[in-house]
Amino acid sequence: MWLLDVFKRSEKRKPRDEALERLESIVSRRKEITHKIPVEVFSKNSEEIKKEVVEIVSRKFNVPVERVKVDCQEEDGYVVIVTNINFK
Amino acid sequence: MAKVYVVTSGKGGVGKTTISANLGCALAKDGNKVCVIDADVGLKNLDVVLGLENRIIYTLIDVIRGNVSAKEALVRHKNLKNLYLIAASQIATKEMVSPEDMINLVKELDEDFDYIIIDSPAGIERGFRNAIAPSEYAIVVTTPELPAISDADRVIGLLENNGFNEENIMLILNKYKPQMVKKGDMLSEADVEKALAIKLIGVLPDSNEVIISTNKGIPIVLEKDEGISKNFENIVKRLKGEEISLAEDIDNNENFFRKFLSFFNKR
Repeated sequence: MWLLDVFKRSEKRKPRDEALERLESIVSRRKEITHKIPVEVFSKNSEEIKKEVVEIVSRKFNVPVERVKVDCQEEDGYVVIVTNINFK
Repeated sequence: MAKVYVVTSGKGGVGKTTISANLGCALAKDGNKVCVIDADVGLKNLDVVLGLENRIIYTLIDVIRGNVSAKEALVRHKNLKNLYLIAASQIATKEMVSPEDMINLVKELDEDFDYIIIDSPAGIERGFRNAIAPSEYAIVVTTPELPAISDADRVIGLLENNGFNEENIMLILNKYKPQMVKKGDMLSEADVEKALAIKLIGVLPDSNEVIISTNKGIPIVLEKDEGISKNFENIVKRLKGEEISLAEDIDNNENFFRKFLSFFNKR
């Protein structure tokens, strides 16, 4: 059988197909758009933001929402997110 | 009120300056009053592509320093009387210009023009931020190569973060080689459009004629009425909302011999 394999034409991938595969991987790493939130808006909606962060973390680490504790604080114009996850 | 476009890209060498010059000429040929601004402070090329390098007296930096008004710095094109240029300075640096300076410059010209086209430097640093500051619309230029597309993707993200609406960001695919695409050796226009997920408003095939016209200082749009010039006319029509198939851009540039051969290949 190996003799036949020698004559079998190796199937070459087209450069376009390879480029497409790599391009897909490049754009899939695209960072999601981040929005700048003014301090006043942040302080008014901090509870909603905390809830949203808890849901994201719970989905990401596959733990129930009850086991995720999040605290958001504004410091020097930045938001510090403190997350505590109980995996047990 | 002028429509203000920035022509930008992440990677250098994709053809931003040639596209800015030809787009400006095509819009002016179409009867619009156009100003092209070279925001590539420190390098300056737009004047060379337009063949106006010997006519520059004042530059963008003179306007920003308050030596002259923006209108005094305008250089009128030799053949197109409704096309004007504000040249960049070669001795200045990008840090000498701020986004606010660019906003004020455009404000001064806004009432007098139908279109203002800002040629942005490559990259995402200060020069890019200066160029996008006064613009409402962005034309992202890429070639069908992965590094250029990857950088274009990054630029699109930054434009969106800087408040550009998704529908105001458009794409031009430059240096496209139809024969390579047919053979499966190059990404097609549809592949690039799908990956970047913004509206493709023009495909410009790789062309030796563009190099020749740049060397002569006469944008190709002013030299010929066929081939790649038609593509620029199509881009102008698409900017004005006309629906023209992108296939027309590719077909325009198939030369007679290739068309002749493909006719027999189909039989």
